[in-house]
Amino acid sequence: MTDTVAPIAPIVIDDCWNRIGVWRRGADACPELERVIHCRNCERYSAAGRQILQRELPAGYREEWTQVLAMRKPQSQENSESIVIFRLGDEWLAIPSRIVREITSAKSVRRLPHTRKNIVKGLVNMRGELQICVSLGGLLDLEKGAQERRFGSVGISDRMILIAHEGNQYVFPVTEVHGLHRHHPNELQPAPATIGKSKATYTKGVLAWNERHVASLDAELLFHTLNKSLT
Amino acid sequence: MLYLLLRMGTERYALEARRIVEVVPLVTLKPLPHTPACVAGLFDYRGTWVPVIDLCQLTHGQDCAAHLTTRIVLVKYPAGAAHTHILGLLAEQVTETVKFKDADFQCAGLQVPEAPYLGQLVKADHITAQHLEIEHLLPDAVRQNLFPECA
Repeated sequence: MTDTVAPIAPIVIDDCWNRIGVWRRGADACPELERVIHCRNCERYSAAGRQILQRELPAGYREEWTQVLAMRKPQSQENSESIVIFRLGDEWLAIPSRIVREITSAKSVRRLPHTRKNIVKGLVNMRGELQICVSLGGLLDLEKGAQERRFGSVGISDRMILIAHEGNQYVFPVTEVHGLHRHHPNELQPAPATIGKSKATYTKGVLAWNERHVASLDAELLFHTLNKSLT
Repeated sequence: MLYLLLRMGTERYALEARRIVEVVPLVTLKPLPHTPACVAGLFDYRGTWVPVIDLCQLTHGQDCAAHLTTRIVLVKYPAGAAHTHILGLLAEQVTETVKFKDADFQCAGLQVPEAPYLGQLVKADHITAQHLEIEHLLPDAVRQNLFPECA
């Protein structure tokens, strides 16, 4: 390909949108307007827009893009995983955001008789559907936080997280939700041997985040145990 | 399925969008001596040298005009059973994607031995285009030049 630019025919644009379209002044309206409602939905309008691009390259355009494309994409964009970070008592935990369906404010839990109280807390009404409410703290054997609250008291930051995976749905209450976070799988460090045994089982790795340590939980294992604990 | 429309000469052609890696603007290409005219050159695509084929040159024997709408379409070019290379296709008026149904396609009725890459014709919503088959795009000599291992 040579750099000599082929002569370009001067661009002729029929600005029908100013004559008979929505920006007309008094003249009869274009019959097409009934179908497309506004000129911006019309093929003629978008075709004219594209025609404007049919011109020579601005100076420096090729060189600039040559440099941009020669650079690698930043590593962190590739294969990064998205997690939802939340707090349970004193512990910061994270679950993959793909299993999170909804985060709502705290709702009242209707208790169920004869259930394993430390894991199944009861039923919660989420948008008219009853969901099983579980205790993540009970599952992970987390100790109650230092700032333990009276039973039934609800803090302003308390939330409920609805998670779903392969047709199973559970809701669990948390003390606070930070939000979404993206990280590279390499940033996960193995869980230290000193943490509680049952928590270590569910922890995929520990992530350094804002001078804190966040335990990233294994979604498959979590659902496996929750499904088992109901039977 | 989604197709990218492009133009070679005065005719419109359609490329399957799922075969496309990225559409990038026209960049400065490093010419390759002793290659057929349709090989426009190489450029550095995020650390790898990618060959670029000038589709206008391949079909009409004319260089693509250096316009803003002339772009390089990076496609996955099949090489062997499981391997793909990235190949750049330079074409004019790469501005539009359309959705065609499989039923919109019709046999062209004649096969040109010199242009095995020209596939079925498609017509929908005032747009008539011809499907470009990427795997038959490169003439044998060019393919052996660029990707000797898939010969």
